[in-house]
Amino acid sequence: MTSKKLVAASSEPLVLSILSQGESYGYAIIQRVRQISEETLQWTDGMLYPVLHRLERNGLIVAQWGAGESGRRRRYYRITQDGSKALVTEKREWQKVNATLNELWGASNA
Amino acid sequence: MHSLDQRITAWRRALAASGTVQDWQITELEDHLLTAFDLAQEEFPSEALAWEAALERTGSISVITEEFAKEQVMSPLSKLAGIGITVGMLAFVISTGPTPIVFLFMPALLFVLALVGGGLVASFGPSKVLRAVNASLRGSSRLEAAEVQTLCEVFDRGYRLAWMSGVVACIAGVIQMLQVLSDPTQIGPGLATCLHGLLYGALLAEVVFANARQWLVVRARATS
Repeated sequence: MTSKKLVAASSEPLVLSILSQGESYGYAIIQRVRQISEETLQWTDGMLYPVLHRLERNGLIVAQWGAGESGRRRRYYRITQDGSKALVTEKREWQKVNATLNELWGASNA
Repeated sequence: MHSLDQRITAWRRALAASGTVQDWQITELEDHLLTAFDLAQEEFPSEALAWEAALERTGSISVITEEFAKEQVMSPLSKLAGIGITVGMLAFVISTGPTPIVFLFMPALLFVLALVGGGLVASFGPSKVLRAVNASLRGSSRLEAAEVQTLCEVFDRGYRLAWMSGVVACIAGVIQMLQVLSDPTQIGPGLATCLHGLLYGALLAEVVFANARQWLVVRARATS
């Protein structure tokens, strides 16, 4: 199970990446994260929503109310242009960190 | 035995009672909870077990409210309202006196503002000072905790400079008075500089800088 700190740090890039593939809503976003990570990244579902609202406040995503399959009110999110730009920056930074760690761990295993 | 509607009502009431989750956010979470419940009913034989599974999946009330509490932000309007109330009350008190204008003494005010402004710009540069003011008023969740701490230093310095400039203005006023002690009719400006300077320095320190720092600190705690 991935550490809580790492899950928290990766929450914004994960959400932006999923929304860059199309409009979605909270439950579906969580499901997608679980599916792609093969259940290794686990959030308490309710913790996703403050992240979504923060991204919305910062203008990286927008939301609108719609209706779910059962007719319940549901909030749908989609990424904005600013969000797409922020995602590019996040990708670059995470890739840098990943490359640096791989270099160090690769060197230490040699 | 509780019906589903009763369970939902109790859950909504518990979230609303926390004061950290707004009504529309509860509605959004309710959709999530009921989606989880619908799926859990395929797995669990009873409604009660499916409800418990959905609750566990969505998160306990305490976990949800804790996460939402971290994201609570104070709007710039609320922040300015606080200062507005202070200034408004002071203005009201001053205006009810016989000569309200006596509380305004431009030389002392300019003296204090110049010392504080000049000191801050000399210590941090104009862009960092402006950044600190902007972050304090508007807030930004994209600020790292270390960056917030650096910006807090601007307000800490401003706080000390405000008190210092008030004291310096007071001393300058006393020196002015001592120069003209032989003519009591001339001691007015010196006395005014002394007392007004101290007043302006204290207000700037405690009302402006202390509050601005607190807003930033609250933001740092909320995003940590």
